[in-house]
Amino acid sequence: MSFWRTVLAIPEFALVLALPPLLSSIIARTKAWFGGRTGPPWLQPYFDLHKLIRKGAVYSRTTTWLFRAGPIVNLAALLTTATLVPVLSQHSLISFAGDIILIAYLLALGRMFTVLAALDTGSSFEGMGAAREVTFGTMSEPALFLCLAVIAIATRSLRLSEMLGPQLFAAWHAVTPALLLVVGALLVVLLTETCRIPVDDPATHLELTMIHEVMVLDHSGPDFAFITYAAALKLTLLGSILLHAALPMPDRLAAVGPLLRLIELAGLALLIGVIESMTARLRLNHVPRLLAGATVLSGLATVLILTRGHG
Amino acid sequence: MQAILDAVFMLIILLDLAMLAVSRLASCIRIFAMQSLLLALLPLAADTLHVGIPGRHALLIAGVTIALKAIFIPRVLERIIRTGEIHREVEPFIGFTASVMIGALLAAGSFAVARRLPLAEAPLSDLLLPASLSTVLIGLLVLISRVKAITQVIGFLVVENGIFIFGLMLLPQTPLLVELGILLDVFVGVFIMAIVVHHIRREFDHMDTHLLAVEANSAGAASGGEG
Amino acid sequence: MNFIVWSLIVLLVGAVWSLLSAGWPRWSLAGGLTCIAFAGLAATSAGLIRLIGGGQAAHVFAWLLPLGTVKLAIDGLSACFLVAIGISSVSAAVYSWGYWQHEMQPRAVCTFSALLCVMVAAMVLVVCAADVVLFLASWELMSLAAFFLIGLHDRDPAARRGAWMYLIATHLGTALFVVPVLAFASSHSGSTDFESLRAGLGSIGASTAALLLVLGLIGFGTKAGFMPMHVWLPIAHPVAPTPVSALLSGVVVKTGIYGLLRLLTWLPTLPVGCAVAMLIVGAVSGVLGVLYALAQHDIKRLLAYHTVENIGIIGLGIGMGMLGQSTHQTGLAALGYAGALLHVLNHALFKGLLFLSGGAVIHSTGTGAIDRLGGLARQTPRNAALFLVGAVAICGLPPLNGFVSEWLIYGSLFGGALQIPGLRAATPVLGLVSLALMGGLALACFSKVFAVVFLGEPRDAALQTHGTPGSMLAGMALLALLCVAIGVLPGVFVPLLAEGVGVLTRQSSDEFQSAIRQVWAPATALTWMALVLASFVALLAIVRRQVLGHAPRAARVPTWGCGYPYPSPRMQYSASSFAWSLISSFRSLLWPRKEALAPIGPFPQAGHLETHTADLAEEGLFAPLFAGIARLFAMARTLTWTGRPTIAPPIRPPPAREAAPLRVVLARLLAAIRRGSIQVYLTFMVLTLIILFLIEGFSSGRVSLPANQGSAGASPSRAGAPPARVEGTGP
Repeated sequence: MSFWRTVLAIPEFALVLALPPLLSSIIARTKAWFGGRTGPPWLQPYFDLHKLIRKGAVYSRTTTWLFRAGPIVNLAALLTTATLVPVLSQHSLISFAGDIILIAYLLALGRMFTVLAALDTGSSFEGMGAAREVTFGTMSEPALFLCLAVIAIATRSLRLSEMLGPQLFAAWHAVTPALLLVVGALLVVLLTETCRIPVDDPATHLELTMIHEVMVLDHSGPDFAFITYAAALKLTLLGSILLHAALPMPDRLAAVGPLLRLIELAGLALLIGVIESMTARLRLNHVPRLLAGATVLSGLATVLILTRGHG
Repeated sequence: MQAILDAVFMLIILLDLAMLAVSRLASCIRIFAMQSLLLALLPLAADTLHVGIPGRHALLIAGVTIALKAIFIPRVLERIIRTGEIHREVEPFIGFTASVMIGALLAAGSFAVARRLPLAEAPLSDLLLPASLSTVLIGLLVLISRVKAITQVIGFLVVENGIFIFGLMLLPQTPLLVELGILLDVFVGVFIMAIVVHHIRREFDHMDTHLLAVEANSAGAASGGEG
Repeated sequence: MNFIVWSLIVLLVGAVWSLLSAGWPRWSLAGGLTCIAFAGLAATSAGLIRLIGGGQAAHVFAWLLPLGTVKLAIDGLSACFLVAIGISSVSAAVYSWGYWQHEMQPRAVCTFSALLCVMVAAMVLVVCAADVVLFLASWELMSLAAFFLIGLHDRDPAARRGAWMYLIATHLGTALFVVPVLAFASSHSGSTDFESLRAGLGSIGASTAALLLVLGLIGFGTKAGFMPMHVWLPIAHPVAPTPVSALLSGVVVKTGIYGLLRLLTWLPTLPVGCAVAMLIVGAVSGVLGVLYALAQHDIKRLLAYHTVENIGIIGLGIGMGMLGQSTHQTGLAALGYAGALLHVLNHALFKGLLFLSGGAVIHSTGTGAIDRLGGLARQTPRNAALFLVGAVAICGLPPLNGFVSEWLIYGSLFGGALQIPGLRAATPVLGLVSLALMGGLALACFSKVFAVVFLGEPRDAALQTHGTPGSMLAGMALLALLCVAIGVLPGVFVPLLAEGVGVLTRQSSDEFQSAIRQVWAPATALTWMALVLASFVALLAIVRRQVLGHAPRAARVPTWGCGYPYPSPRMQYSASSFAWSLISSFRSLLWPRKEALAPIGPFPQAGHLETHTADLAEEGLFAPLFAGIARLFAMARTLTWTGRPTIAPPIRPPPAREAAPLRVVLARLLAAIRRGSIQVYLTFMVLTLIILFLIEGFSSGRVSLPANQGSAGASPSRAGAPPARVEGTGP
């Protein structure tokens, strides 16, 4: 069992790395369908990446080496995260007690370097985006950690693969309300961290209202390819954490698990596409209220699970 | 069944918090109506859980609650907003985010306290007592932290909802008459408040209790100046 | 042990030499600094030897102090602090050489070097003293040396104010809280020897122990800078010469932590409430410290507030250690104390690095006002890289050392959430949330500092920039190197903490390791992850280079101004604007003040915008408190109610202060009561209700606890309910 797991882990990891642009494509197609358009071809994000990789890069005279290091460190941090998150099967490539903290802080490392690269240009627009990014990133942190704490208490484990595994399936029966709240809070965290619609609009090109897109205005060529891919990868990873938390699988489904997870990921992308098509972006000063709401949800979940005295 | 009941109680707490978060009066009223609807279903659920089928007593309570608190009172309040030409926002003393946070703390506190309260018999659900306490407390918070007279009416109604949940524990022991009497009291209370609110508007062209105070103050200052 | 004696002797020689050669400032400085560097090395080696498990324990001199003896001893706890003190002193000494080159005033230089020798010696003595009297004497010596060092530039009123503030704060803490605790301890056990204190205090009751701990927390916490006793810290630290700031923030405040931990080793097992209080103090210090840091406009003041934050993180670790001990969870205790001790060292490293690097910024530009700087990464690239290392480390990001200690503390907090039953686990969860919030806020804060100071274009064309001397860079590089080493190889350093933690938890080294393993992965896991991260970075860098190799040569253009063709450096996002969205989100905690004069009309006049965040504890608590005390004294002196002498000419009234937020709230509340606002009446009614309810709830809960358990056991009462129900509804 463990031998096969080791052998299969490598192709699984490769598949996980190949997946993210497809999710972007599903979101784009969904939004196009809602808008009454055909939308780009399914493989367009891959073509875009290829095109960007082949292009040269343009650099501002103001920038330093940090501007070039930003996308690299960000993507490297996310790739490292990808080794720790279970995406298709129940098991991640690497797993140890406490990997949850490392995941959260790797995301923060990526954020810091993206923000620094944005500020390196000296553009006030990118400064604005960076300020919003750190603000909302900070505010989503408590919700994320509370969610992790609730799942950890429910499954009595501190290892992400176990926390999102069959034990969680059993825990769902015992503490349904708490875990429902957690899923709600995680969805908000996901939308915030990946800069999706109620928080940020990835499609707009009005500099004053954007967060993520405005931070990467000056990047071009391979650097921009890294950034685009990193954004899609982040969506995939956080999305799978959400999916594993919301729809844990018992052991008996392990054989078809990866296939189900693929379908679920597509479903999540569809859901995000629907949310993006149906709702409007919040006013920027209302976003903290949304994140406070997520924190409150996860806080209530914590109180629930602690008063329930599960174990 | 137990899981659904728990979820309903959780939803009630969440609606309390949502009440603190929304900035439109109309949404406030809608949330109250939703909460009342959920409450009305609780006696039925309690009977189903205990006996198997809802009894007459429960059916009657549920019916009256729905008619009164989920339909009639919200209608009245909405009408006041429409005809009263009130500025349709809530106008809090405490900011929305801050009041949600305080509300969450109150909810957490009621979870902590509810564990320590000695009860004669186990309630319908572990969440009943916390839900009741936090609904009462958050209702009081709405009462305190909002400027307008109409939001104070809503706050009062939310407090009453909390007491209703508490009463669910006593449902088997309470005679029907008492409960209907309470509902009648609420109805009369809202009725009187509606009239008062209406009169405040007639007299001062406004429905801001805050402004009443300003009025009194300036009157006092004026008389003081003359004296 | 011999290393310690040698380091003390060398420091004494250094101090004497610096004073004797006052006529030749370069020689005086060189001699003093060399002595400090060697003494620092000796102290580090002494600590390391003890941590690895060797070395002799105690050293008694045949010299009687009044009331006590001169007894030096190194146990694991002292050793951890010795290492931090030693390393910081070495790097500060190396740095100081370059720092003083451009202003070789004989008086300042030789005083500096002599006092620095004294301060380092006093710190070494504080952590090695094994006798109450010796401890207090060296504690006092350290405070005095620090006082004179802070006020070294005594022509500057800010420096004088900072120095006095420091002296008053530290003496109030020492005289009112530390001395009584130690006096009680030694009178209770009948000896001033630390060894006998532990035996003597072992028998005291839980409430006495809790009282001692609270007094110790206030007294030592004043030194360490826990909120709200931190007010002196952001005033005193920035005005000192940079190497002194680095030592003050890096290690002098840690002696407060040392004192607290030493007190903990004497006390018997404490009630859970103490641990909870410690956790809350830690969380509040941490979150408020970093929020205030975010609001600062001066680089050194900002770093000083970050010290408050990191002391808060250490407090969280200590709190979890205490909680683990109180609830007999060895894993939690080991992780919490290990995290706290490692963070003591880590903070000494990265905060030292950041202060030195920030000082280098001031050294090369002449100002520490963040909003006037910019673009320094191209003028002083090495300093920028070193600052970046410190910034990433202090944000607790992998793969640097800050992450390792926070990771351990997180382990303890998560473990606490899992292993402590019932609602008591809420405290670790609260700690968890606050630590996560601190992480996010620190990231925001250091993105701001680094970006505004080092990136973009210079904001003030008038500033002349010159490079950073080599020796300053060398002093910083030592710290940066250690930051990376601990971050990448935690598997080497964490087991070394076993000796230090053992003093507190009485675990052996093996027990320590296995206790940690019950909860959290061994730290070697982080080494592998650092390797994975580094290889991904290398891979991507190679890919990028390969790909760009084919492409035409990269063009250099101006930054895209979103269509605006004439951007100027002054239009860049400033530090204040970067922080404002966060500051204003937390306005209910910080009460920031914003004064704006917007340009209006077709021919606008010059507008301006100013943001200012005052320290609530200073303005709202200590200023009125001390003003009240001063008035009381004045009343006693003049025998009047007003405090003004009747004969002497009236004193000019002090300049009107802007009312502090707490006063504003109170005034508004009073106004509302006077006016008769219905909401205020309702508030009082509700508060009364809640208080009554709580009293009732908690007292009845306690009284009927057995009954409660009975009802939990007697579930038939629930099963018995339905029949009664049927009877009730039947008719």
